[in-house]
Amino acid sequence: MNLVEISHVSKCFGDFTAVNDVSLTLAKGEILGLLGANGAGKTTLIRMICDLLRPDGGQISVQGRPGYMCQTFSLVEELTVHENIRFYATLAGLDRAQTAAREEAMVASLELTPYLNRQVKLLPSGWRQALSFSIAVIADPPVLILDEPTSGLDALSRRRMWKLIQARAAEGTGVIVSTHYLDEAYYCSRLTIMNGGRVVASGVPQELAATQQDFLTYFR
Amino acid sequence: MMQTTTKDHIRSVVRKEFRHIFRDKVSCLLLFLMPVVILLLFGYALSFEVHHHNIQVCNPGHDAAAERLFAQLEANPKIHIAGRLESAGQIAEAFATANTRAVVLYGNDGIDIFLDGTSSYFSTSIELMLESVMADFFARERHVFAAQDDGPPVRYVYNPSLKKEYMPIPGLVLMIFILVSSIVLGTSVNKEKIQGTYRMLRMTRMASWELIAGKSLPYFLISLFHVAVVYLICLYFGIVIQGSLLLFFGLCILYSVCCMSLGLLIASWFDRPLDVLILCWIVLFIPNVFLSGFIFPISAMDGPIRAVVTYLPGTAFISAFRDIAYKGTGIAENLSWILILFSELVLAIALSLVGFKRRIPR
Repeated sequence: MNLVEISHVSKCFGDFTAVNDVSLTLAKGEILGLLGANGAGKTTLIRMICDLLRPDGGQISVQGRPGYMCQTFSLVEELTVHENIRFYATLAGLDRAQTAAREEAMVASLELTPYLNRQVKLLPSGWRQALSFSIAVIADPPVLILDEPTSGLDALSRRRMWKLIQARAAEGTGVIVSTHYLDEAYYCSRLTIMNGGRVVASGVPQELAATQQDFLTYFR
Repeated sequence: MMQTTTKDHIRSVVRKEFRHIFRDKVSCLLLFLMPVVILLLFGYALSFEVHHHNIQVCNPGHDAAAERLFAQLEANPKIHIAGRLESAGQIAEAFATANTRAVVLYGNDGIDIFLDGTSSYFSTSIELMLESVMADFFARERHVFAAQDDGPPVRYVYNPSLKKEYMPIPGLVLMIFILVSSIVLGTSVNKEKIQGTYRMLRMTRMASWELIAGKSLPYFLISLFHVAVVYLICLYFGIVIQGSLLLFFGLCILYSVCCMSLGLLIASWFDRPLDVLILCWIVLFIPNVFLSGFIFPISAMDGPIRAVVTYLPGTAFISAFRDIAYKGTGIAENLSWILILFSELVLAIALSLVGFKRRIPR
């Protein structure tokens, strides 16, 4: 049974077609990469999966409430790390004991202890994104949707973020992750390449790359 | 290689700036609509000169000389005798319930003028007007009104010592509410939209109304804190709330929530915090401060403008505030103002929900 099923979904903004007849599925433990240049329709598709945008046509089915990480840093900047975790945990429906347990685990795995009482606006961008990721998974969602989670990060922070994503997928969470970094495609178990709102190729990254020698060919 | 000159540079910037102005709706609004609005407000709508004074007269002894005086008053185009009172005992009720600003009483002890002391500019204006008409009348009827040479005594109802502190307090509360409840709340909600935290919050189990209530409540409490401070200031200056305290605070709460809903309405339809800030000042602050009767009397405005400003939340608040706090009137006398505030609150919430859903469907 697929965690996400998208069938012939389209979305227009006036005369501009942002997403055009896209179909895809996501299975348990799978990392589905959405690869495409800026404006390819990745964010619009992600927002429709998250029910933040209504599609003009087609069907979207998602199991459970997905965890979501925005393209831009979207935690409350004025709150500390600890306060942000508590805030989002409460909104995710966790009680005090659950929140405390999750926070402890999260802080330990991200090595956030020194930053716990620091306002998140003062954190380095790599830490901020890692915290955003942890908050997206705080309620243990079956599906995780990440919109360009490594955008603007240095190479080390990107590597760290992908380790977090892969660990999560290994626990059985289905992950949809958008990126415009070609090298990140290889971290995904399956890849959907988008261009001009359409899916131009779909498959295992190594096979897709081998077919055309380079992912760039798909964007021509 | 082509060399560009200073002229070229300046021309490029000028061209870019014009494009910027004409493609930005709020800049256009500020540059072209705002001067027109200010021109209309100060050149046409706003004036301290009251054109129309509604007064009541009282002549319990049915004295013929008093009737001649009243006819003389009525002959003045700026004075309108809206009603006649049977006895002096009805004066307080006339001020409380009817839109009466002055009562001229011709009693056994001669003429007395009663004025509403809650609005000093209005009182001064009508006092001067009545004294001028009466001076003419007394001069012509010197044989009857010899004793009135110094002019009739003037008594102020509600604010007998004509304390100046009475005047600014309703307007002060009005401005605090617009600032805290509308402008700061509106820009804060808008900031969340821009930062993406609003989107994150919508992804949680939270319902829309929970989010709006949670965002609004702190500003509401801060507004209440300011009301409490204003109340303490009133007490400090010896201004006692004449009406029900419950009704007084109820009015403040209703107005605060109404201001919040208007702030949310603007925040829901505009995407940039600066746009929200500017629109809150243009659409909420300026009209409510200048047209609500706080600074310029509404009766000095022309008919069509007067009809429109009656429905401003600020007008309803200022009028109800003065009536409840200074005149001691109850809910029945202020029902129309309360209904205006309540209907605007409901309308603004409905439109802001549409505005928020336009961006995010759930």
